[in-house]
This record gives sequence, C-alpha cells and structure tokens, in this order.
Amino acid sequence: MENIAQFEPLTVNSHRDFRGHMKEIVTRLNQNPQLAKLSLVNPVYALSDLGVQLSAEMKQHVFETFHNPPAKRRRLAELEKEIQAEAGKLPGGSAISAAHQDRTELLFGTLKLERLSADHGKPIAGARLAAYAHQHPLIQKLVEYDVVRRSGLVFHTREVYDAYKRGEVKQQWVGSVRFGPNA
Amino acid sequence: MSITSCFRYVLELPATALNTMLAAIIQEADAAGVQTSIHMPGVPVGIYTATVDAQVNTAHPPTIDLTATNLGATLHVQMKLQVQVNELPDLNRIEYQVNFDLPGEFRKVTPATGNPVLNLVFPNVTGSSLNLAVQGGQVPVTAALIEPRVHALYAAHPELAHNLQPGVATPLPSPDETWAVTVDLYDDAPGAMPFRGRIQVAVLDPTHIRVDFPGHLRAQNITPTLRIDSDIVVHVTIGVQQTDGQIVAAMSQVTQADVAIDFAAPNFYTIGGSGLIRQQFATRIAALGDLVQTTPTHAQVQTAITTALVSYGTGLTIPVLRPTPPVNSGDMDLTSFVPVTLGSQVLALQIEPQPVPCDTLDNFAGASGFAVSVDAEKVNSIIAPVVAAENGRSRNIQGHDVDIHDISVSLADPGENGVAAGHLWLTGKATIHIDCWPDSHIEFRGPLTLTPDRQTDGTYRFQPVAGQFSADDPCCASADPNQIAQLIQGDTYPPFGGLPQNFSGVGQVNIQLTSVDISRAGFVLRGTLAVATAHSLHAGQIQHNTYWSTDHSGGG
Repeated sequence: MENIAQFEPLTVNSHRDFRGHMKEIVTRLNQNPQLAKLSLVNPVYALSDLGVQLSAEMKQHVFETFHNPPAKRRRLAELEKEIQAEAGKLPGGSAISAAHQDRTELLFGTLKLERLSADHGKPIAGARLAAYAHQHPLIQKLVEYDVVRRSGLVFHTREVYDAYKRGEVKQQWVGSVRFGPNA
Repeated sequence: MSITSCFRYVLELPATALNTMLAAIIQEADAAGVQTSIHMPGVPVGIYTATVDAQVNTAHPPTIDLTATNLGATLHVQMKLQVQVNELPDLNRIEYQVNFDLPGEFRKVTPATGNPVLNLVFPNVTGSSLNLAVQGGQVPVTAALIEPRVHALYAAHPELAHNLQPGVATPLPSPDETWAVTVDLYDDAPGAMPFRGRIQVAVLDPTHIRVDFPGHLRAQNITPTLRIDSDIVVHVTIGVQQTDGQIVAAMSQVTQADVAIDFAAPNFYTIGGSGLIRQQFATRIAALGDLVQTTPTHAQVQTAITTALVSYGTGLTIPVLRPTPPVNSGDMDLTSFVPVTLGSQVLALQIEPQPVPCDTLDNFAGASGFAVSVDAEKVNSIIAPVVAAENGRSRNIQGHDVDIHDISVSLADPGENGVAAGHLWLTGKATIHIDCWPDSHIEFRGPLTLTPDRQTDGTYRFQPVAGQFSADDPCCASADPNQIAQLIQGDTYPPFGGLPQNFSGVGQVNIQLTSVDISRAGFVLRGTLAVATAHSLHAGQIQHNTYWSTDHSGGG
C-alpha cells in the first residue's frame, strides 16, 4: 500500500476520548479507503496508521467489541436455548456434542436422516453438516450455532496486517469500506 | 457452439455410458423386451437343411460404437451358435462362436398412446455388413455318427456274417495242421432272440475309432480234430480323417497291427494262430473300402449363419430410453427428448425445446462419464429466489448485525473477473452495525462455485463454495470469504430434479453428479451413471450387478 498520509496524533485513553474523536476518525477512514479496508484486518493497527493511539484498555475494548460483540453473545444464548429445546424432544436425553462421531450418530442414528451419497462411509465434519440443515430444525440451529460461535472479527498479527498493507495479500471479497450513516 | 442449443437441457451419453446401459438391458432382456436368442429351423446348408440356434454371450455383452452419421450406431455382438443338420440326426450339433456387427440407428418412436421411446433398431443389416467372424465348427466324430454306417456295411456284405475257409495253411510243421476255419460275426438287432452280439463303435480320440465285432471262431484240422471253438470279439482300430465337408473312416488302411482278438476260450492254438487270424481279418476289413460321411462345408454353414443373423438383426429392437413425465412441476421433462449424435462420440438427448435460435451443440461430455447441461434461463430461475430472499435481509455475520442489500449473482465464463474457472459472480453491499463504532458499509464481490449434493429423493441441491484462492493469495482476509459466502450458503436452493432414473425398464439408474461447470451459457453437471438391474435389486446383490460408467476424463 502506498501513499498513506501522515496524521496528527490522536490519543484515546477512554471511551469518552473515543467518542470525542469519532467524527475525525470517521473522516480519516473515509478519506483513506485503503486503511478503511485494512480496519477489517486489524482495526487497532489501522487506527494507529490513522494517527489514533489507543491505550491498552481501549485496545481491549475494541477487541471485545469487534470479536465478541453483544449481538453474537445474544444470538449464541438464544441458539443454546433453542437447541436445548429441540434436543429435549429427542429420545435419550438432550446432550449435544460437537464431536464428529457424535454429530454423525445424531444425524443418522437418532434423527434417522438419510445419508447423502457424498457422505457415505464418512463422519460428518462441520462444513458437511450444512448439507442436512434443511432436513431438520435441530440441524439448522446447530449449523447456525457453529457459524456464530466461530464468528467475530479476527485481529490479525502485525506481520499479516503489514502483508495486506503492502498489497502482498489481497482482501478478495471486499470492494470498499466506508463508515458513517450516509455512506 | 452451445451447451444447450435451443433446448433447456441436454443430456449427453458417451459410448461408455451407453454400454453401461446396454449391459444392464441384456441382463434384463426379458423385462426390456429384447430378443437375445435365435431359433431358426429349416435353414439351407448345402444339400441339407439345418436348425440354427444362437444366444447372446452374456459373459461378453454387446457393445456399441457411434458412427459418423447422425443417430448412427454399430452394435458389436458375440453369440454362441449351434447348427443341427436336420438330415443327419446322428451328427452332433456343431458349435460356433460368432462375432458380428449390426449397423443400426437410434429412432424416436411416439406411440398413439403412452410416452415416446428411444429405440436402437437395425433395419439395413446385410450379409456383408455383419463383418461376420466365425470360430469353432469342428464336426464332432461320434459313435452314433459312424455306427449306422457300419451296420449298413455288415448288411451289405453277408460274407462278414459267415465265412468258411477250408484250407488255411498254418505255420505248424505237420500237413495235418492245414485247417478249416469258420468265422461267424454277429450284428443282431437289440432285443433279437437269440441275441448273440451287436457291432459297436467307440471313439478313441478325434482321429481314431474302434469297431468291435462280436462273433465265433471254429478251427479244425484234417483229422479232424477241433482245435479252436471259442466266442470272440474282434477289435479293429480305424483312422479317421476329417476334411471340409466329409469324414472318412479309413478302413482301407487297416493292417494286422490294427486288429486285436479276444477269445472267450483261449488255448494253445489261439495263441499260436492269433497272428494268422488277425491278418485274415485285416485283409477282409481293408477290402471293404472306406466309410465316408459327407457333412456341410464351412462355407455352407457360414452362409446359413449369415442368413440367420441378418434375419435376427433386422428384427431386433433395443429400447434405450423409456422416459416418463416429470413427477414434480419444473423438473426436467425427459419425454420431450430430441436425439442427436455428436461426432461419433456422444448420444445427446435435447430436452424441452425453447423458442430461441438453435446453435451447433457442443460435445461437453467428452469420451466418458455422463453430463447434462442446463441453460442460463433455468439456472437463473434456480438462483433468483435465493438472491431475492437475501436482499434486504438482516443477518448476523461475524457476530455483528448486518443488513444485506443490492445483491446480484451472475453467471461468469472461465477467465472472467480474474478467476480461471467458470463461476457465479456475487456482488452486494453489507451494512454492519457495531457498538460504539459508526456503521461500516462494505461492498463485496467474489466468485462462487457449486457442489452438487444428491438428496435422498434423487434430486440435487447445490452447495455454494466461496472463492478461488491461490497459495499466494490465501483466504485469510479479514472479511472471511466463507463468512460472506454464507449469505448464499445458508439459503436453501430449490432442488434440481428430473434426472433419469429408469432408462429402459431394466432397473434403477443411479446418476451421481460430482461437479458443476459454470459459464454464461449455464451449467454443465458431470458425474457417473450406474444401473442396478431389477434382477440384482430383487436378489439384494446390487454390488454384483451394478454397471458403472465413470467420468475418468474429467469431461471434455
């Protein structure tokens, strides 16, 4: 990545500081679309490149906000209840394991779903579970639970961030990122 | 070139897949209504007539080659064939193995009632087009073939029955040992009273027979003193020569060495006089001349076989496809098929005509396997509801509330968008709501490929797979492509149904789609085809009677 501008430093030690500088931060992000995209690789490093220096506490706050956001926690809690409710209807108890062998037994032993031809003779690994989602509501919820549980923005290391920044690694799916209400 | 021309679907079957089906059809010939045997009495064979029987060799079922002519095909058949010469009932059936070709054509037949059928018929078979190759045809030498002729010989030569020789000089030193020898040979009919014995023939090997003459021998000298008075069996070994059209028992070549005599009451004189007596017999047998049995020549038999096979071929019909209307609305309607062959490689069934200009059909199946193309309109109709359902939807992606909008999915050719393979090109926008942070508006775009998943009802659902990533360009970008792909992956695509499950009433056709080639023209679905015959399904031995045709080539 070339031509990243030099910015006046902004120090953020608290949530109050953060809110206070938000307008300037958004402006800097939107004026630097490459850094805006890099905020998806590691927002802390991207903010740093924008001249925003976060305290250790605020870095942790940003990490929690991005990686383990309230919506994720809320949805996981909902799904756990829904899965327990569905599992409670099954014979033999309500314990649901994530082990491949247990998932395989759940699909074909307990729920007696028909094995798809692509899966003959194999345990059902995580990604393949999705192929059965439309066959039973419990499987649908388990698939979503796995997806949500694994979700949360990944904060890549400095080395990886710099590789993206130098253009050595591309953000394949991201065209552009803008911030604010009127993007 | 086009993958669907002016049709919604094109199902392509290379010769390998056709042979898979053909093997199943032959195994279930009765159910398929295919004649696999011949019975023709009264076929001229030289001066004789013959009954010709033949059966398709199920160990080597017929195979098919497509010809350069549209809808042309050549069936290669191996049969076990037997010729029974009617006028020679004692001649065993002559066994042959014949290999021949039946030039034919695929023909769509639409009956007045019921569904159309695709038949393979052979209306123009001729003797020369058979390319007939005949193996075997050894005329078997049997006792039954020779024996009647020996009985006739006996009847025609009364001197065989009773022979008196009054002055046989013996090697003994006394003139008194000049003997009168009386030999009687018997060939009484079975059940005759009294029954003294009957001439019998045994086949020693393909070139030798032995004729056993039962009889009685008396020898006395001048005194007269009875020296020998014994029942006997005279064994005469005779060489057999076979040439094209005749079998010769070379009696004229019989010598003393070919004659052996068993005496029921042996004594000093039988031992001493044996050589003399054997010489006497050899001379008499040789004087009778050869036994000759004419048989059909190979050329005559081949002409008879040709006649039978031409008759068989011209009457033969093999139903290749017996489609039924689709069970579900929107499924492929196989009954609308229009057959065509492509470059002697592929039989293509064009399905559901469309009101668009026709184009030259592409051979996308290649030399092996099974493939079906789906036009872009149908593909878009599969994708459109998924996209419509996704647009404007709020989702949870990467743990954040996300509004999805402006999604579009389009078919893309190989090489487009910097992606080597054909793909679905997905574009869209996502607005991510993050606490304490301004909304993030992400424009995303990327390639999707599809994996077919066969459902238990025989339909298919497509599982999207995101991205084409190289080692230098790994999929570890911050916005995980697989997460974004779940915009589409998480949705349920309408099932794609109507693939043939029963071609010719012989069992269950199992089509396993293994890959989807994507282009602007639509999809090409590739896979394998197997036929579990009705017989094997009934016997619960599917694994032993499933005929597979596998796409080893990866398609054309």
